[in-house]
Parts: sequence; C-alpha cells; structure tokens
Amino acid sequence: MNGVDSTQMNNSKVKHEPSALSAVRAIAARELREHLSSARFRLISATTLILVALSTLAGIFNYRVQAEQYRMDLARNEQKLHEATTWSEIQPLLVRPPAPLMILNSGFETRDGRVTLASNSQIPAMTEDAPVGAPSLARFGEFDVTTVLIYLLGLLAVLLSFDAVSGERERGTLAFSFSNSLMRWQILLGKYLGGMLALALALAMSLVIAIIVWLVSNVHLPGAMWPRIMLWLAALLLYLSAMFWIGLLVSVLTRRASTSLLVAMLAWFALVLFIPVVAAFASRQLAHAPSSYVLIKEIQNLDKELEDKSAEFKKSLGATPESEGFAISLEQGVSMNFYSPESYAWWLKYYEGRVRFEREYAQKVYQAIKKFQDQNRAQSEWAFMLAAVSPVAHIERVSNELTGTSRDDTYYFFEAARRYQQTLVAFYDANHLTTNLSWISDDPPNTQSPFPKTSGLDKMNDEDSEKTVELGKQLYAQVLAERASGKRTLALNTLPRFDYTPQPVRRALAQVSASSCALLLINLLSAAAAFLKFRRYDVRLSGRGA
Amino acid sequence: MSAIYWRELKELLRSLRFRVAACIFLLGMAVNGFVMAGVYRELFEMHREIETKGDERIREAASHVESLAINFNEIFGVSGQAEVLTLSAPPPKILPIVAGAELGGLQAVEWNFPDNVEPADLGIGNQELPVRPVLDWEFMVRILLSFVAIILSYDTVVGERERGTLALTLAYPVSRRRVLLAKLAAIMTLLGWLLVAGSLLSIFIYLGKGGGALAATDYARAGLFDLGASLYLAIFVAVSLMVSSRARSSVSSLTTLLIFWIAVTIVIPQGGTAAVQGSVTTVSDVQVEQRVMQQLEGQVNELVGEMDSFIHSNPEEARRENYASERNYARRVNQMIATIKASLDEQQESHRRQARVVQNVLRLTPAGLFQIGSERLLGVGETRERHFLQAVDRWSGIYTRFVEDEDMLDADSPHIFYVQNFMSSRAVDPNAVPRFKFEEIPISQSLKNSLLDWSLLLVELAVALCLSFAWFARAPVSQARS
Repeated sequence: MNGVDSTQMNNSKVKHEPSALSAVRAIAARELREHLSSARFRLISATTLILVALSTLAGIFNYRVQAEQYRMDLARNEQKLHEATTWSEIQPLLVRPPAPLMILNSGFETRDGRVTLASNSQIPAMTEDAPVGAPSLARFGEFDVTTVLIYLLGLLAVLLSFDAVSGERERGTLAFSFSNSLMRWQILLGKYLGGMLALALALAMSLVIAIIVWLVSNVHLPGAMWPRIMLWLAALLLYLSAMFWIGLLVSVLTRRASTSLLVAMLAWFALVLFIPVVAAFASRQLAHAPSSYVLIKEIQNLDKELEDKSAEFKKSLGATPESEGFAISLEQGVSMNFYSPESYAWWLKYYEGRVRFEREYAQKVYQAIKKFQDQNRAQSEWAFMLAAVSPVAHIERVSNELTGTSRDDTYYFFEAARRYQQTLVAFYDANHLTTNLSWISDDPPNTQSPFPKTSGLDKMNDEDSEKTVELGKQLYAQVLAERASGKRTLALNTLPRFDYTPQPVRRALAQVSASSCALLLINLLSAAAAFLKFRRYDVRLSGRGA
Repeated sequence: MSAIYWRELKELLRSLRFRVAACIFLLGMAVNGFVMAGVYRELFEMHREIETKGDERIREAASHVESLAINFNEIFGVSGQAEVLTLSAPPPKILPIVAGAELGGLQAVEWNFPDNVEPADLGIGNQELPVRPVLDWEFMVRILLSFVAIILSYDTVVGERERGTLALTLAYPVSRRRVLLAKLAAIMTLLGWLLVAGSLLSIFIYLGKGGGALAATDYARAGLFDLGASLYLAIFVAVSLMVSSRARSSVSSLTTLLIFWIAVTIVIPQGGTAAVQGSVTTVSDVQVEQRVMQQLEGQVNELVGEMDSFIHSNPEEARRENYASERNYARRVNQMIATIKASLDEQQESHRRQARVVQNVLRLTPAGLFQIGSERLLGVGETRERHFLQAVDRWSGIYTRFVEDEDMLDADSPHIFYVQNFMSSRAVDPNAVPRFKFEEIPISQSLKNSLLDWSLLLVELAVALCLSFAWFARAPVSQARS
C-alpha cells in the first residue's frame, strides 16, 4: 500500500521525465526569449538593420555604375569592330559582366577594370581600363552588406554567448538547472540552439531588408542568383556559429561574467581586427611581390624589343620600293598613303615577319604578367595562411566565391578570354588573313596606283604638285564615300565572337571547400573544448572567487 | 592622492589584461618597423630610378635649347622622342607612423612641358589581397590603443564598487575629484609608457632593417605624434571613467563602452566615407577625355586647315613674313595645351573637393580628428600631395623661363615658342638646367595645418573630463541591493 502510495505521490510530484531532446528544446526556447528581450540584442540588431539598408543602397549604386560601364563597353566594342577597315585593326574588346550579387558583397569586383583586349599581338591577362569610380577612401575596405554582417552580427554572437554560462553561475540559476536532472550537454546544446536561433533571426531580418531595398530600387534580381544567396546565408550562419562557440568556450573557461566579457572582447578584437591586418601586412615582407611599376617597365622593354626586331627585319628586306603618293593631312591627323602593287607586295612580306614577332611578343608579355600575378597571389596566400585561425578570413573568402566577386571569378574570365584569343588567331590562320592584303589595307586587290611615277611632292614643279594634291583629295573623298556606303567593310559575320558565362555555382563550391571545412573545424574544436570544460565546471555560487 | 595613484598603477601593471594588451601592441609595432623598412627601401629605389632617368633625359636634351622644350611635350611634340617626364617625391622618412596615407605608392606626376601635370600611378600594392588597413602607428593608436584604454579603465569605479573597496578608497582625506584624477593619471601613465616603448621598438627595428635615416625633425614629429596620441587616448579613458561611474555593473559598463568604441572608430568613419563617395562625385578620366575632345574639336580643325600653308612654306619666304604662319601655329598649339590643362586641373579640383568633404565627415568623431591631425602633423597625405603639386607648378615656371631666357640669348633663333626647328639649337650647360627638388613641408607649417584638429580633440577631452568629474561626484559608493 505504502509503495503504491509513494509511487503515486512520486508520479504526481515529478512530472513525466522529459526526453533528452525536449529538454534541449525547452532550454533553447527560454534562451531565445531571453536574447530577444535583451537590450544588447535589440540595440545591435537595430544598428545592423539600418547599416544593411544603407550598404545595400551603396551596393546598388555601385552596381548601376558598373552595369552602365558594361553596356558602354559592349557598345564601344561593336562600334570599333564596324569602324575597322583592315584585319590588323580588329582588336575585340572582351568585357567582363558585373556580378549582380556585388550588391551584397563587393569583394574584388571593383578592384579591376572590366575590359581586356585580344588580338594577334596581345594575349588577355590584365584589364586595359582602370576601375570606374574613385578608389576606395575607406581604409577598412568596402562598406558592403557582408562586411556589416561579419562585424556586427559576429560581435552580437560573442555578446550573446559570453555570459551564457558564467553569467548564470553568478546569478545562481545555473545550479538550479541541475536540480531538474538535466545533463550538462543538454544545457550547453540548448544554449547554443537558443543563441543560434536569435542570430538566425537577425540574419533573416537583414536579408529581408536587403531584398526589400533591392526590389524597391528597381534592380532586376535574377532567379539564378537564389541558390548562391542561400549558400551565402548558410556560410554566414556557419561563421556566426563559430563565433558563438568561441564565446561559449570563453564563458565556460571563466567564472565571472566580467572576466568573460574581457576575454571575449580581446578574443574578438584579435580574431576579427588584429590578426587579418597583421597577417596581410606581414606577408609583404615574408613573401615579396613585385610592384606594378616593375611590371610596366618590363612590358615597356618588351615593346622596345619588338619594335627593334621589326626595324631590323625591315632593313633586312632591303629598301622599300618607292611609294608613289605621300602623306597628305586631310582630316585630324589622318594621312593617306597611296602605294604601288610592288609596294603592297613588299609590305606583305614585312607583315608576315612582323606577325610572327608579334605572337612571340604576346607570349613573352603574357609570361611576364603571369609571373607577376603568381608572385602577388603567393603573397596573398601567405596572408591568408597567417590569418587562418580567424573565422573572418575564411568567411570573407567563402563570401567572395559564392557571390561571384572573388579573384577566381576574374581569373575564370581571363581563361575564357585567352581561349577566345586562340580561336581568333586560329581563325586568322585558317583564312590566311595575315598574308592577305586585307591585313593592312582595305583597297581592293590588284589596285593600281593612279599617280604618275614621281619621287615625291617636293621634287615636282608647282603645277604638277598642285594637280597631284587635288587628285589625292579627290581619291580620298572617293574612298570615304565607299567606306560610308559599306563597299569596303570587312566580312565580320564569320569572325568568332566572345561568348562568356561566369563561373557556375558548383565550381565556386569546389573553391570554397577548404575554407568551409576550416570554419566547420573551428566550430567543432570550440564546441568540443566547451563541452569538455563544462563537464568540470563548478556551478556553485560560493567557492573559489565569487 | 599619490597613494591612490601608485596603488592603481601597481594593480594595472600586474593585471593580466595589461600584459596581454602590451604583448599584442608591441608585437604589432615590431612587425610595423620590420615591414615598413622594406617598403621604404622599395619606394626609395623607385624614386632614385625615376630621378636618375629624368636627369639623363635632361642632360641629353640640353644639347639643344629647343629639345629642352619639345622633348618633353608629348601632346604636340613633333619630335619622335617626345615623352612625358615623370617627377616624383621621395618617400617620407617617417613612413612607419602614418604610412597608410602614403602606402599606395610614390607621390608622382607625369609632367608635360610647359605645365600640364597628370597624377602618375606608381603603385606598389597587391591587387590580390583584400583591402585591409595598414599597420602603421596611427592605426595602432587609433584602433588598438583606444581599445586597450577602454579595457584598462572600464571598471575603475564600478569594479571597485563590486569588490566593495570603493568606500575604502573614498575614505582617504582627498576630494573625489583628486581620486578620479589619480586614477586617470595612473592609466595614462601606463598608456604613455606603452606608447613610448612601442615607438622606440618600431624605430629601432625600422632603422636596423634599412629604413630611411631619420633627421631631428623626424624625431620631433614622432614625439609630437605620441603627445597627440596621448590626448586622443585620454578622451577614451575619460569617457570610460564617466561610464564606469554611472554603470550598474562592470559588464554593462564594458558593453556600453564597446558599442561606443565601435561607433566612434569604425562605424561612423566607414559609413560616413561611403556615404560621401556615393553623393559627392568626382570627374572621371573618361569624362576628362570627352570634355577635352569636345573643346579641342573646333580648334584642331582650324589648325589642320592652316597646316597646309605651314608645311608648304619655304624657309626664305617664312623669314620674310616674320614667320607669320609658324607664330600662328604656335599660338594655336599653346591654346590647346592650355585647354587640356584646364580640364586636368578641374578633375584634380573635384578630387580635392571630395577629399575635403570626407575630412569634414571624419571630424565628427575623435578617431577621425586624430587621423586627420596625425596626417597633417606628419606632413603626409592630402597636405603632402598639395604641397608636391605646388612645388611642381613652381618648378615648371622656373624651367620654362630658363628655356625661354636661353633661347633669347641666341640671336639666330626665330624665338617661336615652342615649335620644332623654330627655336634655338644652341647647346646648354646641363648642370645649369634647373632640376626638380622636393622639400618636405616644414614642421612649423605642419603644426599650423593640424592646429584645428588637435584643438577640437582638446575641447572634446575637456568636455569628457568635466562630465566624468560631475558623474563621479554623484556616484553611489556601494552596490545597490538588487
């Protein structure tokens, strides 16, 4: 009877033993409520939302400028192609389209220009134009949505977690939790989930604000961007999770909330601000990279080499057959040269050699640029390695890749441009264009010189020289009319065109696998350390150092 | 009062937070000295090369008075050798201190005879790296030491109250104001030592690794910088004391101060700068090109129309007409050069305007004031650029007058400036040709330039101190029962 009674009493007093997961859920819910009503969460979230709105506006403004530049460059390319009258003038401008997600993350998008050239004498490796817009005056880098989220939400993560354990211990409520026969790991996990839910909420609200600003600004949001945006959010959550675990670890390692805050702040400062800056700075001396000044000098030397070689080759061909006709300035520095068929033949022989030199030169210039870029990339890898302990270095890299604004995206573009240049050269060779008169002149083949054989205007008498100049002007007007009416245009319909699609998402994912693993590793290590330390955590209010 | 002072000092000195902060700061200063030495050498090599090449070209051109003009006029230089002359300023020897402003590369212009200048991009910088602030002294003080100042002083009052020793401290026969002063002095002493130690360490390594040999004025500037830094840090300490007196717990004190710190050093300057860049536009290179093309179109057509007569004139006839067509040509060409210069100057003015607005926005926070004040005190950044451009302007005037004077000495010369074959072809002593030499801004002028910013900082400090005294006077002595 007693046994039955006591069992009944026990059953009425003690509620149904909570399952492991529901206990965690309960703790998480309580934590979430506490976070949402805390001043620090509200203050920092509010600031974040305002700054996200502002930085989205800034991003949209920058994107518009870039898109406008892109359209203008494409139009300029078409115009140049149509204006060209000889095949050697054809220098297609290859333009890199702006990444729409630069609105959320500026990355390396505006560090370079958009345009590169491909031709017989140039392998695309660098941009020709300077980036549009004034160089960034902000010393911490561009003010974009990702930067705001990394700094402020990362800070929030640490501020929510630093007193999760030590604060409760001080208030005395931690010991109380154990009276409910909760396991230590449940408490910690519950706190983690509660905090992460609060952070996820802040992140989601930021995204909503950004999307609203985006839509209101009438900038088209391509549907294909959504997978990237989702992945970017996931990466940010992984980063915030890492920061949260670090904060929890600090909380578990210290006994008083004020100590926790101090250590957490020092850790935040070191990881977010100090280490990336020192790493980038130290890499300058640890892995020396040449300045662009040196590269420009090298290219200038190669230029001179090319011209010297061409001049030598010209001399080796013997004297130029006298060209009947002469330079007549007829409009804005344009001169008309009239050549005899012998002259044309001589020039074709010269250009045959010159084309070969140009291709050699293009290779040498490309190698010089490649070496320069490789050395600079090695230095930046050093900087990244030195800062590898900081989650910020990793999330920045992942963000850049996923939004399509990383260095890899730029190099992907140049790879495509180089392949196009090879297609172009193959096209020239297949159609024998470099050994054809149309390489250097839009005169119809077998053109006869209209001029009597003389040796220059200054050797003629006045009457003849006047007649010759008149004839020259007439002929020029005729050529202009023919060009205007399209009789002398190049057959551009067979010219291969540059068709570019940016790097696909799966390739971007492959590039970020290392950094994502690093973030995951930081998460796991901090979590493991926190769990282990918490097992021995002295939850009593009294005892060593209250 | 001195008892309190020494007690605070000893406590802080022994505390873990001070030791960690000191280690981080000294490490940063060491790296700073080490890397800046390398940067200085690189920039100095570049400058020397440019100077040597410029000197060679002038020596070559000195063989004919005419060449001294047309060899350096790329816009209308008919000679095949016409090329701009690059003029550069040597890197400032006190590079470690405010290098952020100078690290983009050398201060340099491409100079076109007689007076067209375009900024030259002699960049050193890795495009592969994400943009990061440069680890110069100014960054270390503005970001790291201000943070350390807060860390050291956030719990001066509220911490004592929590520990229960505040009543004891106030029991001394000293006024509350003196107590606060003692605490302030203790923290500032520590920060001062740290500052000096870091400065010496950085300079030592910098000089040892081959950085520029420092002159007396450079040391003076470094000293003044440290003084200014103390002023800046004192503001943070004063604000911390203020918050510490009023806060309910040390945790809330630190949290409040943290938010204050982020707003003042990062959010407001960054956001403000970005806002200005979005709203105050500058004239782009493309726009300059378009504008120049537009304005020159008419002038070029006229010139080309008259070119025939110019080309076909024979020397005898030309002399008889007193070189009328050549003078006309020269007049037109000089007109066009002036048009181009006007456009380039307009572009530079627009950049300067934007920079001025950014500066005024930065002045909203102590961090911005410190940044601007340091740059001006050390004679770098925007003031240096302006000083350099003024020096180039002065030199090009002297150089042009020299060429014209030398030409006038030759009786056979037609004196048509600046047309090839119509100026003197006499040789000139290459050593007599005036060379461009850049003088750094004298320290007295730097002080004058930066006076406004330091004064504003002083005012802010005074306000912060008054408030902290006022609040401390009313601070409760014991923990309120919660």
